[in-house]
Amino acid sequence: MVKLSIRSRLIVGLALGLSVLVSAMLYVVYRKALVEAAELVDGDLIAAARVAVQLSSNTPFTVAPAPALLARDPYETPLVVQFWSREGTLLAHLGAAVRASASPRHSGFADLEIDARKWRTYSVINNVGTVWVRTMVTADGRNLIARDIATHLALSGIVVVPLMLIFLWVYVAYLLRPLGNFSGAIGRTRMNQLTHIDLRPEARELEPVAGAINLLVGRMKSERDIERAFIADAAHELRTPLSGIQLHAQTALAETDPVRLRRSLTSIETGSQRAAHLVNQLLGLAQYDGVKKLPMMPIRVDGLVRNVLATILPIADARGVELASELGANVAVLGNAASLELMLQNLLANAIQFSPQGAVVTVRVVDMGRHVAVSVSDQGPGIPKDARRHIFERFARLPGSPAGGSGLGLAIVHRILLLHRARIAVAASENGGAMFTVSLRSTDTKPSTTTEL
Amino acid sequence: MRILIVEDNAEFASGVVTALEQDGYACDIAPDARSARMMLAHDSFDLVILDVGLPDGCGVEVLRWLRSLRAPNALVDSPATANDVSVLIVSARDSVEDRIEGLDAGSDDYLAKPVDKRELTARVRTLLRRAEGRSSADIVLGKMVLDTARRHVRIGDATINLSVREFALLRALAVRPGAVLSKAQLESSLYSSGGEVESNAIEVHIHNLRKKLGDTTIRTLRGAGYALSIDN
Repeated sequence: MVKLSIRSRLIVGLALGLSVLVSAMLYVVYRKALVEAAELVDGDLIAAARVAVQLSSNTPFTVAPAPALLARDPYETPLVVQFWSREGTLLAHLGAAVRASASPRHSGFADLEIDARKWRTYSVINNVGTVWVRTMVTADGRNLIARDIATHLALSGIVVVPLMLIFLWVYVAYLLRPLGNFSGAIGRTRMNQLTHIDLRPEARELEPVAGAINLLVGRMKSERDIERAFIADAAHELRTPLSGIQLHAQTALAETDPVRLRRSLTSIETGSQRAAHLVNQLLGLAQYDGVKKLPMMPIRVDGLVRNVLATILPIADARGVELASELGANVAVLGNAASLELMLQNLLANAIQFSPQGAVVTVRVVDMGRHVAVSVSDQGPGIPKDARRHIFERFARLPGSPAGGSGLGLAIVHRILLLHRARIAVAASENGGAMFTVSLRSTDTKPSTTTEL
Repeated sequence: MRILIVEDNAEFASGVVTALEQDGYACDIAPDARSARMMLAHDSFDLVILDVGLPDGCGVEVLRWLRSLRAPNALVDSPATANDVSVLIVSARDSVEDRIEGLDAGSDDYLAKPVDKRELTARVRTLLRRAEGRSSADIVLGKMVLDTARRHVRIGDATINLSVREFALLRALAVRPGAVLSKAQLESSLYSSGGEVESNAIEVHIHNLRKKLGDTTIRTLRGAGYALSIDN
């Protein structure tokens, strides 16, 4: 579709509308003029006939030769007067010679057609009853007047309509100037100074547009600020472990003592592992950060928990932490399996990291009707109340956190739960540790398969 | 020379420690602001390497706290570390604004991560000699010259190579010539806390130094410690 400017649309529309309107007006005026002209001509015919009747009453009836007409007027009706005997012979005529057709028999108006020309006639008999007088004009003359009136009107229309359109063209440009200034102001705004565009619309209609744009700009800015801060944070967080690896490597290169050399190399290895873990967590977060929706399907919670427990078991064993689960009944939630597994893995990994050796980390699944509560509780130091609000922020780390945490685990959990529109609550567990409880939406239809225990 | 490393990242902290230990410095790690304050209050350090982003606050705040303290020993609860101890900020934040903030808060130098070991140790040497009031890397004690950059000793035209520990011990004694340092003081400036130290390690190093530099260089004051004799 061709995109037309508001200005062009307005002009084209108005030109079409005005043309139709003017044409209709011309037609109506023309019709009206015809009627008026006919009445005018009829009046003339009667008046002329009355004079002619006076003449015909003289006896004997004679007609002097017609005097040369004094002056011609464009609107002078070419009038013809015929005098007929009662017997039907044309006695005399004034004006143009018209072939004698039929003699008048009735007084009054009649429309005749003589030699393919239309005539308007008025007949009357003189008061002595000897002579018929017929005054007549061609219908053309009558139409000429009407046409002239219409032509004048049409001419003025032809002049007025373009003038009006030119005026409109200029006026619309003037009206639309605020819009041009407005878009200019937006166009001049640089991306890097995106804060609040100082839009002062000159038209009230543009104020909501300016408001909407600034709202959008504000949202974009805050999102971009968060993104920027995240990239900067990520770069800084990566720099520190990489810098540590570099120092260890440089020390190792200068080391001659084999025991110390081995220690440095071990540090390089663990440092690399932790940097890799950080990169993995960053990728995990990026994976779920970029999406607005996840493909959801009914998932059996007990199966999900078992899968995660199996993957996390080696980590728990290595740290001497015991894993316990209370999987409740046969419940299902609507969710995305891969992301929920990652979410639970992060919660469990955190719980294990903060647990002292020999402690138990418990996963509980409780059917709450419309929701399924999955909780992970540990016997670690717990999370101070004032810190609970910040722990889901990126790179947030509690003082005294075990080394090697990326600071992203709970941010990933938070992001995944946001995509599930699920809630997470942090509380103290029964033995003073931390307890994270996730509420997931139950599916309406529960899977019919029985839980294998 | 004892250095406190305030750094929450375990890898980086241990990287700094091994790098500095290789050059004969004793190191301690404080993983957060709270423990940094505790250690500064109870232990004496020659240099603090400070990270800005700490889990429980900003390193710059720790620095401001340290600089705002009154002169040592003026009060009972004053920290063991002098409030004018040299501070080197090593941070992942490297913007000009960050550097200015750190330096204005009282840091003596600012180093951005990633850190090259050679530069880190060079800056540590520079800060330490400035703290000792020297602009040269050499400590001149009569005929004996300690080159702190190359870690060797020159007596006349002869260059004597020392082990890292031997040099660190000699240097500790040379900073305040004539002052008597106890065995514990020497151990604390040679060995990081937590590491295993042989009970006679200091005696062994003293013995080796005397062999290399001459018997009269280091005097033993029974029950008090050791001192450098500067007569020769």
